[in-house]
Order: sequence, then structure tokens, then C-alpha cells
Amino acid sequence: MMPELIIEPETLKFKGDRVRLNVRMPWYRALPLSSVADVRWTVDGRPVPRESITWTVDGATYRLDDLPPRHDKWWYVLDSAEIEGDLIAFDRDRHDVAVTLSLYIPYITTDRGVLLIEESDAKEMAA
Amino acid sequence: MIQGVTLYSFTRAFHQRRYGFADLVREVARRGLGPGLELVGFQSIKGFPAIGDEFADRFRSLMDETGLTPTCLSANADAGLRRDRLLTDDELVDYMRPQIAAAQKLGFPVVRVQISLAPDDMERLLPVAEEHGVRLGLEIHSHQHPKHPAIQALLERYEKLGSPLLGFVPDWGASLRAVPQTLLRRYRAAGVSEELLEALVATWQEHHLEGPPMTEQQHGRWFGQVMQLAHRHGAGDRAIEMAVNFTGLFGHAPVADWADVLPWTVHTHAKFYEIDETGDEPSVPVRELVGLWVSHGYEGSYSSEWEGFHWNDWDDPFEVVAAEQALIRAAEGNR
Repeated sequence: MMPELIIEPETLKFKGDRVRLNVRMPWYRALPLSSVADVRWTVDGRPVPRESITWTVDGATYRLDDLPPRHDKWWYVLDSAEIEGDLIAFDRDRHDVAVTLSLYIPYITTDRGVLLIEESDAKEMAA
Repeated sequence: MIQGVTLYSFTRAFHQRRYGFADLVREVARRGLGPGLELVGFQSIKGFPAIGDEFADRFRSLMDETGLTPTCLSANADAGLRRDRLLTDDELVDYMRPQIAAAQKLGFPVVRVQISLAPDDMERLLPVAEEHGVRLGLEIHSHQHPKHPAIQALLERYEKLGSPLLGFVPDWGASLRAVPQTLLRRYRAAGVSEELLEALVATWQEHHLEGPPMTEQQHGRWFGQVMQLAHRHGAGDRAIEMAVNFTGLFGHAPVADWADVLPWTVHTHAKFYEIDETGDEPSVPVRELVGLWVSHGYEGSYSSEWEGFHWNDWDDPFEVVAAEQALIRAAEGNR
């Protein structure tokens, strides 16, 4: 749902060997952090290593593997999540950014388990 | 009847931060899309289901200021909250309690609840509804439908308990007559092949002839069928979305099937996707549905629920909601 809103325009930042970006939820209601199943993220075609990615909402920062047990914390639908990971910038003015978010939808349980959606966005921006 | 709208129809504008909550409510009133107002708790209110006194006071003042009337608070039965297992029945019942309390605090007479709640859970929630003076309406949403065994089991329990506080919220998305044209337009613009679009529509039509799924296994087969079809045509990560749309959103229930549950209907989701140049809804048979509702003496509330926003970012959501409301009024007047 609304995948084209995932990447917040012009929020890419490099600092040392880290890269940072704001992402929005491709869904319409607050989700528990346990819903965030995966983040796949590339900058200029180079993947940001999954194990280096941190996820910050409401001032609290988590590694991706720390999110699944956090059904006690929420990602509100109007709040950006700030993701950060290891990547050294290519020296160029504009960067190609691509993000895929995998999210469990906690009220849609079917014969195939809890619904897991996967939504992707790609944008070009300055850093 | 009470005509109105759910703020869910304006998801895109809200999500894009073009309207804050209070301004969105004011815009609904200014455009005459009330008086009924529905909202999804987990969408409109940060921190839901906790409702502070200050927020409740501001909400009640906003209703006074705008002349809108709260009709339904949409709650969520998040059985899949945890990754290690589904919530137990006890946990799910407890999960609903603060959401029901929130409805009372904000002045909503009805709480929409969801299909994860079984008849025993609804029976256990009846005293909670009594305590808070609200009615609980379990939403009948595609891919479920009025004749689905899970809905029939609830109906049987409601009849046994005989409480006016337990009922249903029919969602018209369970009764489509065609795939929305606006979705096909969007897919075309995104470069989805004509072959895949034709195959998706043909598959939906085959399912339509088969009738709404009576088991979860049947729905699961349909879902897998659309996933495979989409993957065969190179749809990539659009495949899940296509399967959700074509087997999860666009339901197949004949209009007449709703007759069973209308005596227990406490609120209605007047789901729609698009309004054509003649003022009709090509995918949801709004006239026939309203006709059935009126013939059964339904006098409750309707929330216009525009779900076209998933893919339609070109129409003005306020205008399409106004157009569906005009269609509903015309259908009522023709009875």
C-alpha cells in the first residue's frame, strides 16, 4: 500500500562510514515493532549490510534482529523511521536509493499464517 | 439513516501530512460529508488505545464545533501481534478491552471488531460492551462473507445470546461485481503487461463463478494461484499485492446473501473503489446493496469507505466520497 511514499525525499545523509535515511510505513495504521520483518536497502546499487542496519522510532534505536520480540512498542503511522547502516559514499551529487520493507500485518491471519507484505520504493536524491 | 464517512478514506492525505487529525475532521464537516464520523483508532490516534483526558476533551470539543457525530470506532483484533505465536483467546480478549473503553471515552456508540474473534470471544466481550455502553460489530470483510462458516457461527451465537450489543459491520467490499477499472489503469501505467492483466481479471471472474470461498483452504488456494500467475508474468514483488487485491479485497458474495445478517447489523462500511461519469460505482453494486438494506428496514449508519486510494492518487478523495454519498442517497430515495 502506497509504496511510493516509503523513501522520504531528500533525507539521505552520509556521516563517516555510515548512511542514514528516513522511511515511512507503506500501511495505514500503527504497527507493533514486531511487524517489521526485514529492511533491504541499497545506495547506488550497493547493499547496506543487514547486520549493520539500525532502526530508530520515537527516540529508541534497535538492531533489526531486536525488533521481532518488541510487540510492546509501536511505529505510529505518521512517524518516520530513521534507518542507518554501514556504507561509504560514492563521490557523486545524486544518489540512487532503493528500500524494500517487509511487514507483518497483525490482524490478517490466514491459512498461510500472518500476512507478510513486501513493498519497495526507489528514489534519486542528493545527500 | 445516518450518512457519514470513515477517515480511512483520506489515508493518503493524512499519511502525507497534508492534514493533521483535527484539520481533517474539520474538512470532512466543511465539505458536508457527515454527520457520521468513523475512525480507525490505530490510524488516527498516536498511542491508541490509551486515550488521555486531554485528547478526549479536544475530540469532544471538535465534535461540538463541527456538528459531526461519532458513529464507529474501528478497533483491531491483532491476533498476529507476536512473532513466536498467535495470541491466545484470553490474550486477544484482553487486547480488545482498552479499545472498547476508548470508544466510550470518545463517545463512539459502536466498536468495529475483527474476524480473529470467535463466538466464545464475542460472548466474553459482551460484559465489556455492557460495562462501557457500546455495541460491538464484527466486520464482515472480504475474503469472508455472510455465508462463510465463521460468520454463520457468530450469527448462531448472537441469536442464542439475543443481545442488542453484539452484531456485525458488513463491508461492501465482500460483494464486488467487477475488478475496479482504476486499478487496471494504475497497473497499466506501471508497465504491467496486458497478458497479466487479462489473466488476473479472468482468474477473478472464474472465482466469481465459483462463488465466495467457504473455507480458508479454498482462499489459500486462490491466493497461491494468483501469486503463481503474477510470478509467471514477472510481476516480482508486486505478486503479493496482486494476490491480496484479487483474492483478499475484491469479494464475490451475491448481494442477497447479506439478508441473513442485516437484522444484526450495527453499522455499515459502504466500501467503494470508484465512481464513473454516470455517477455509478462499476465495481461495487451500491444501488442493489442500499436497496437490500432499505428493504430490511436498516436505519443505522453508513460510512463511505473509499479504498481506491491504495492505487488512485489522482482523484480528490473528498470528491469521490461526496459522489458515493450522492449515489447512496439516490438509491435510498428510489426505494
